[in-house]
Amino acid sequence: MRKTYLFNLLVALLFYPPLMLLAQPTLQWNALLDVEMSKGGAQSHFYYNEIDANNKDARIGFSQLNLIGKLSITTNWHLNGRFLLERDKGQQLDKLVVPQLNLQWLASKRTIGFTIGSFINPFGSFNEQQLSIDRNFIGLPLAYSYYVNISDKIGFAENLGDIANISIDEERQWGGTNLYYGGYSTGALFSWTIKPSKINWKLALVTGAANLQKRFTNPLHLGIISRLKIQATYFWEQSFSFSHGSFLRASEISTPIDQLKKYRQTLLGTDFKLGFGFVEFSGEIIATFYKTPLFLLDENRFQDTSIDTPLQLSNVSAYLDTKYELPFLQGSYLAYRIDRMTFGASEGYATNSAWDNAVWRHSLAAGYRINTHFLARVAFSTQQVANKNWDKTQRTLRLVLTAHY
Amino acid sequence: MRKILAIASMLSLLAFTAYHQQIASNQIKGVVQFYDCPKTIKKGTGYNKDGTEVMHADDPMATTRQNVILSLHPLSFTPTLTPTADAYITQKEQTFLPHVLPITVGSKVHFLNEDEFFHNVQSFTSKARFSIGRRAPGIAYSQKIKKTGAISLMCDIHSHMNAVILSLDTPYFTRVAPDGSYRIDNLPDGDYRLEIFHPNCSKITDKVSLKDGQLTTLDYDFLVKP
Repeated sequence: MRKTYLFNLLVALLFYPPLMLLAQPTLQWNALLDVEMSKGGAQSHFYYNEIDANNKDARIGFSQLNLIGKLSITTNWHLNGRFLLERDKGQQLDKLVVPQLNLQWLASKRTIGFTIGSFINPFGSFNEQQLSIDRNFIGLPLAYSYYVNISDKIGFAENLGDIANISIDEERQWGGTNLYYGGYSTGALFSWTIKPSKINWKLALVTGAANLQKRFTNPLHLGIISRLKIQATYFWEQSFSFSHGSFLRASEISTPIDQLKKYRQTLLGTDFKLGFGFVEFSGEIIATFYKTPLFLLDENRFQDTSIDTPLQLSNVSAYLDTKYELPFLQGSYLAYRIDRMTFGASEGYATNSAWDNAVWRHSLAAGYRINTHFLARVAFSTQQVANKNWDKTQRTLRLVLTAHY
Repeated sequence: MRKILAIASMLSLLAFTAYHQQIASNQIKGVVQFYDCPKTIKKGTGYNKDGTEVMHADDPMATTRQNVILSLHPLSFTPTLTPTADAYITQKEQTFLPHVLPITVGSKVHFLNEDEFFHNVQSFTSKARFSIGRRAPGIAYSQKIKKTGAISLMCDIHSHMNAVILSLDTPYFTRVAPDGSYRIDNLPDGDYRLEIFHPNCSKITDKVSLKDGQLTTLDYDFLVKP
């Protein structure tokens, strides 16, 4: 009782002060804590399989702590926030962030909504599963977790990370993911339920491309994200997503470039969910297109021609999830994910070879919801990377106990 | 012989009278006065993704005041329990209707999906765990409730949906009317524990003795959380 009181007090102190003068606001809150045991293969790295290279041996500890609040100022106006203490790139639990903080207006029947601030990136279906209790697996799909040879400071460079060790602004360049694994964007979001339970459309104006990990870029870029969700029939959801924005940030080597905003990332995606009884299939396919300068590692500078005529690089990533809930053991499930990422040739560069190594990943997961507050999951994954002898050395085994209130 | 018949008749009359005294038609009625709870900090119903994909039924059976249950639990005799007929919970506009369903323990509850998409119903309440899986629109599914007490329901497809089955060890219960009035008839003589229940509110318990076919009036104040 005393603990609950103290927790309520803490939540109130965090969320309440700015709006204490408003009449009759109500505050709803939830909390979520993950305890994780993980072990990775010898070639594990956060940028490839989400296991930190210095913590690939078996370890156990808290991996994230969430405090989520929703302050309803009136029936139409809401302030949403999420405070997150997490392991920065899989290392120590010392990164405190506020991934979500927005002001939202919702129409009375919630058919129309406007949101300003930081909110869940509306691209794709996976971003909606922000909390671990919403996820069947522990790891993220490749499009959200696997680092490709494009950095937000130097653009495209061959063999970034594992072979090419280049440091810009005292930060080693590993490339980046196609979609920021944090799952949030900053800007303004319009959401419209065109036909309740049938058609929903979202449009967001944000501060850059979907792969941006920083909330704001230097200089400030713009991006646009759109998603159309259709409930085709009661057992089938199909959605179509689009994202376009600039991604290159200013750095110590970007002076030759006069227009950083012309280097852009475009995403096209579709996702689906099919289900019946105790079985569910879901998946996503995303085509990614980059317009990027080429960074010459040997000369530590951008290739001159690629500054004015950016390379056009593309890749395709897709995953398919299958989930089966065991009817004889309520709250339990088994799941399998097959994940694929392939890379095209680069126009204007090495036209005969792909610009990064294709990846296959297989993941198995099992989960059991102990009660409404506890979920236990175990997941195993293995992946093969083309042109790399990493097959058995990037396996992961992760067990997570999630406590949720 | 006449004496024996007379004694037998007297005994039969006494037994009949005693029986009818136990099921004497006592009545209880009153008013539950609702008061809004000043508490404005509470546990959330789920994670807010963007708000517009969450539906909300305007049906009065989703409101707090239509889901307050008053029950009388006999303390001086064991009541005969018969399954509650027509115990239905529907899922409409991503809302369980009603929010609280009172039944006698052992009844079958029928779940009906009236939306145009999948719903699930599951319970993680100890000794009453079940999941009916994804259920298509228009298809009813029945689940027998064997445990007494409040059984929390949720839909794992729509995490903001929740409801309660109030499984009771007594046939004497009623849903309090929206204006707060209630009435239960045909109550046998005896001592009872009176309970007023809503999952978001503080439960009220009281002791009541009924006899001689009387009409008892009891009013209560009930704190309602927003």
